[in-house]
Amino acid sequence: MFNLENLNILIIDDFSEMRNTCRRMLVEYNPEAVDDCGNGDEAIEKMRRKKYDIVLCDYNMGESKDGQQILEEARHEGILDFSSLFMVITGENTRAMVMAAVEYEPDDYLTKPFTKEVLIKRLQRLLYRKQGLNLVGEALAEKNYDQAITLCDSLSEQYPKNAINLLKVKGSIFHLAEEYTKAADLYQEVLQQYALPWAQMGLGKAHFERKKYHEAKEIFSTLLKESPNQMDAYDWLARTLEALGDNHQAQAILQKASDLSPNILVRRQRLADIAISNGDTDAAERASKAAVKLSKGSAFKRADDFTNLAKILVEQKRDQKAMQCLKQGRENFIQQTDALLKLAVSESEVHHAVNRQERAIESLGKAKKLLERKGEGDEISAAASLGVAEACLRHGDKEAGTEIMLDVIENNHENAHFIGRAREAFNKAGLAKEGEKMVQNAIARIANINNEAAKLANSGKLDEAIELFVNAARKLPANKVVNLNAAQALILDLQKNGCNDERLLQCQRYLDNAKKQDANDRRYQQLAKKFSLLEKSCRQP
Amino acid sequence: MNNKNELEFSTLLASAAHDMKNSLSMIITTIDHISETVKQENPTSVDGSLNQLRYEAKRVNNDLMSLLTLYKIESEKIALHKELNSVYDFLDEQLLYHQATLRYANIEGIVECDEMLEWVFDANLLAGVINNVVNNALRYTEKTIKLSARVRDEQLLITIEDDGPGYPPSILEAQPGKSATADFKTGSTGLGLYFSQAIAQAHHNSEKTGYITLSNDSRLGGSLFTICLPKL
Repeated sequence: MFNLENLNILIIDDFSEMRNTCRRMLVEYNPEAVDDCGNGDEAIEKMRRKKYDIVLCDYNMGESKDGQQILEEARHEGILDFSSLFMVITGENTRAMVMAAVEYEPDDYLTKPFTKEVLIKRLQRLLYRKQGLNLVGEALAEKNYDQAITLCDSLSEQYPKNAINLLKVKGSIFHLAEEYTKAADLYQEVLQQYALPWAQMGLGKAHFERKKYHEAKEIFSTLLKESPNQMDAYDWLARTLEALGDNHQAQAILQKASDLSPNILVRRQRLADIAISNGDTDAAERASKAAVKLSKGSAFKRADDFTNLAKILVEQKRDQKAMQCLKQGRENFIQQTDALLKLAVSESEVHHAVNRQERAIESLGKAKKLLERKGEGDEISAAASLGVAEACLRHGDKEAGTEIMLDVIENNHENAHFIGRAREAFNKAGLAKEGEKMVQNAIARIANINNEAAKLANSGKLDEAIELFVNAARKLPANKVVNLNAAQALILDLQKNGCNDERLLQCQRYLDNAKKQDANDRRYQQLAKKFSLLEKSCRQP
Repeated sequence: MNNKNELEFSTLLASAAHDMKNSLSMIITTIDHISETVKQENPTSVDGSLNQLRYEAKRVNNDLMSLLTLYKIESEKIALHKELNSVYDFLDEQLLYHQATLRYANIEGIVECDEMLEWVFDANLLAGVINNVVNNALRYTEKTIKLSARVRDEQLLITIEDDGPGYPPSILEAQPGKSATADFKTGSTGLGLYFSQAIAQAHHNSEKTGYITLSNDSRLGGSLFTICLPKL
């Protein structure tokens, strides 16, 4: 007899009657607990505090976040287990209204009205599909991809009715493991049997990752011709076009996707960024406006959308609108130092643009105060610091401007964009020559340390190399390259001289430093993978 | 009316239909709840009027759903959501939607299908088709409704049959292929058939297109509805 014993269930619906109806349907199957709530924020809060095995979520929640947004935030925050079941309940007769999101897909959709029998049967089948996936999830959490693949294979022997679904899981594991050729082979095998959109998507992404951009473009375009509501295909087609250098076409594709499905914040942000880089101010304004609107209460909001819009507005001499936008920004980022700092710099820029120099300096003062919190451990990005440095130089504060600027350059000595902005800022302040020299020196200092240490490491003097790297990393906690070098030297040492708790700890710290700068960095990910294997083998007797 | 006005009017109709569907959802859920309560209080009671109410509400719901889907197809707001489905699970679930009526009217619902059979189709759209036909069969059948599926010539054939009096000649005449001039869109059953045909045709590959057929050749003695879906 089917039951829901030991399972924690969450029901999210803005109508209490509907929540009660669902609860009545479920309780006779003896679940561990059935919790419910009426809005998205509460739902996220509940999921943070408790692991739910099953989430039933209404799609249309009135004023609150919709079901798709709740799913995206929960997956983004990692508060939903790999094996948890997320079911979206819709009042629509077709899920075409509920367009696929950027990245996350619910496990199932259920259309209202439904009977108890249908709900229970669905849960029974979905739970069957999820069987054993908790172990796969555990292997993935440890980045043990081989183990995860082996588990999928044996599950598929055990549950032959679930074979195709497990192939889908396996494909996504190959992607995580960066085994793109294996991923492509798997998807091609599926596609020989069935023209399934998820397999087409997977193959296209595998082509993209292997830099086969023309093949990827072909697949995404064909898929969109047949399934124009496969929303993630637009995002990937746009990425592919960008990689091929066709930024205008990429913008057009993102625009089309945003018109079809207007409520996806991340896509609007990409559209705004690409419109800005294409110099298309009208499109940038529209996209930024939409992004600002969608930011309220979203986990994906960023201060840049507010500052971008403010910049566009003030260029149109609409400085009051710009100030209003920044105020709205501050309300969205309460107590978030980095964002508030960017907003304060932007405020200073707006005042400066309409020649209110005193107020511009006042806003810059606010920004400087916020920057001081860095010493108290608040996270502040290089981009935000750079903005402060630019504003200082603009208003004649040469000393502070130079100091902050050089700190940014030392921590990002390989970032051409930042270096370019530094040069321009010195230039505008009439310090072209002096500035150039300081920038060059800063870059050379860091490059020298790296070269020196690399030479030592290559000639077998690993201890000395580590000392040099570690000293540099201590002084430059935000320099990704230096921190990765330090971690790499330590990994080499651990591999050569065996386990050492102190060095493991050190290595972890430098990897964490690098991760803070860019968690998607290829080299970081490779080193992190090596490190986690090392650490694991050290922990075993 | 010019084109723009027409489009606006149909958008208005669609949103009104959508609103009505939401209310009907609530009505159907409430009917189920009431009949459940009545049964608990008095297990032997025969809630004939409730059942009639449920049947009619579902009929209106189906019609509205058909209208909405057809509107979306016409205005190109819909595309197939292609998924690999277990055909047995799918058919089994379609009967579950009518569990209460089946139980009350003492009608046996049978699914006849290989449990391992899988096929690519849009389950949501196809559910609309099956739901329409089953609801209709429930009204006319005596004892049995059978849903079956098999593969023939690389096409999936799903049939729904009953032991009722069968389709009247007017409907058999009106089906596509039989008579080019018959107006498929009129009449109460017409909307359902027109809808079914549109959904079948939306399932097509480069060579073959899906279709429906109606006949009275059921082995059970009543109507036989067939929807045929090519391999996608």
